[in-house]
Amino acid sequence: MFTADNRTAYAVARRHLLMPITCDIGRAERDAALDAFRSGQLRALVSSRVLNEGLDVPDADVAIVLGGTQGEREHVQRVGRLLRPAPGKHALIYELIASGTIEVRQAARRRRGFRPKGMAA
Amino acid sequence: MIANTPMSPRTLPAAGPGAACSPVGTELHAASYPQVTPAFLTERDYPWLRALLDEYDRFVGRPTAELRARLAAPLGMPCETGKLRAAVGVLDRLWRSGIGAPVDPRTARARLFACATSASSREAALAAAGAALGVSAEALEHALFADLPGERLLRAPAEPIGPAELALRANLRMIGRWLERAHGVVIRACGNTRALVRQAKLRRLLCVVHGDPSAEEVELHVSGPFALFRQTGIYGHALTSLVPRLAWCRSFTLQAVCSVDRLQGPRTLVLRSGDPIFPAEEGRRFDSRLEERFARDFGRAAPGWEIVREPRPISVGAALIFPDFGLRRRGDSGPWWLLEIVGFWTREYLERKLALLRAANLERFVLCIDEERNPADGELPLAASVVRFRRKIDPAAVLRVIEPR
Repeated sequence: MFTADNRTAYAVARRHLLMPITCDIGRAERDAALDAFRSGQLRALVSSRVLNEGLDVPDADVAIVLGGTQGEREHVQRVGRLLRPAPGKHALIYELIASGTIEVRQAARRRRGFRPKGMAA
Repeated sequence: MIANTPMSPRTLPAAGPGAACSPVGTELHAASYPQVTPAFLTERDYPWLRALLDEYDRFVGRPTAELRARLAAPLGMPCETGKLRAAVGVLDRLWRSGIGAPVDPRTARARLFACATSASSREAALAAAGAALGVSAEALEHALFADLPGERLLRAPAEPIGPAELALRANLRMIGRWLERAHGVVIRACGNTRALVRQAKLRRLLCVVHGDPSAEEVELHVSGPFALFRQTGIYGHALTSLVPRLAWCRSFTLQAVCSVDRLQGPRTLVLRSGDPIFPAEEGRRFDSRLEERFARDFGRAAPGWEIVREPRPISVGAALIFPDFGLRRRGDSGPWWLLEIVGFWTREYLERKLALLRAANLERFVLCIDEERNPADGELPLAASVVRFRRKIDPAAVLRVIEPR
């Protein structure tokens, strides 16, 4: 799950008991959490920005973008890194957008260039 | 208001011929720039400082994020933003924070989030993880992020401070902001100057000392961080930490050419005796681990040699050299070998120093140079009397220089 900021990431982590991956969490603990996610010991992770770059999680098949304010490039990086193609893989991206707010335009902007091969956007 | 012309550091006017043997940055002529004295915190600021201290006391035992939120709002008493920022910076260093949780937050996270993967509900996960860790579900939730910066609990310092001390410390912090942007600093001091010079040397600053040690009057020319290329933060901190030691001298003036504002150009910060600056305690001022260790190691490695600490300073032209050690073979009545430990260095600085030593015919002189403290480009100059070191000085390397002769 992607959030716009750390504060929201912690709120989600508390409410839904998901491991947060943020800059406040130490490197060793983050690595351990990612290993646990890959091995299936953790079912989900929540992050604001740390997961954006430098990480591939091919086993992830669902991404939830919650209140993202980032641009197109960051959106592609976020989703593309987690939803790496794999044989027989069916991936889903959910975006939570509050209707009647600026989030509608923000979402449209970040999806502008996002046309993954073999996936419906 | 003094008019000021924007000027880049490369075009700054240089000092007179006396600057020839000074370290980089100090050749700038302080009198060429508008003089400034910081707007020090004084007794007039005590009321709002008291209010600020009360706020910190009020938040002891509560998450630091709550204090941050409170400080984001007006204090309720008139105070200047810059002064308030300096005072808050001081208090943030004195008021520490700690984890207030019955279970280690990392352990709590690892256990709870793993339980949540298989548990049927949030409550079930909390109950299972809490039972495994021997704490209640509420305590586990409380501990979950208790180690994050904003969640850590504020702790009061062991020794409380009052508005007067806070004002002095905040003044020092404001001076530090200037000195972090200094090209060069000139300190003129009178009385107990040996202790001051020693502190400059302990901090391994790029420093040349002029003056008459017997008259207890010296002039220190110290490079500023802006004259260097690397390690400027560390160097600036080291330079700032010298300021509280100025209070040990009977009188002093400090002039630092600083570039604090790109638009306004350099200015000369001026400090004098009596300025309200937090003074340093005169506790551990005569020691450094590096020197202690070298004295011990050398004594063991070379029992046939005498070693004395802090021999008398030597006048070399207009400059003074303060050796750290004197070394002489036991029973030898000849001149001592003198050894100086150099911390921060540039090639230019070392070449000037070596030239000074050559000019004074000081052949029995060893410079020990810390290889890790080169805040500029340039290689270490080759010289027979130079010993390189990292972290500790090898007595064998020193003996290789002094024994063949």
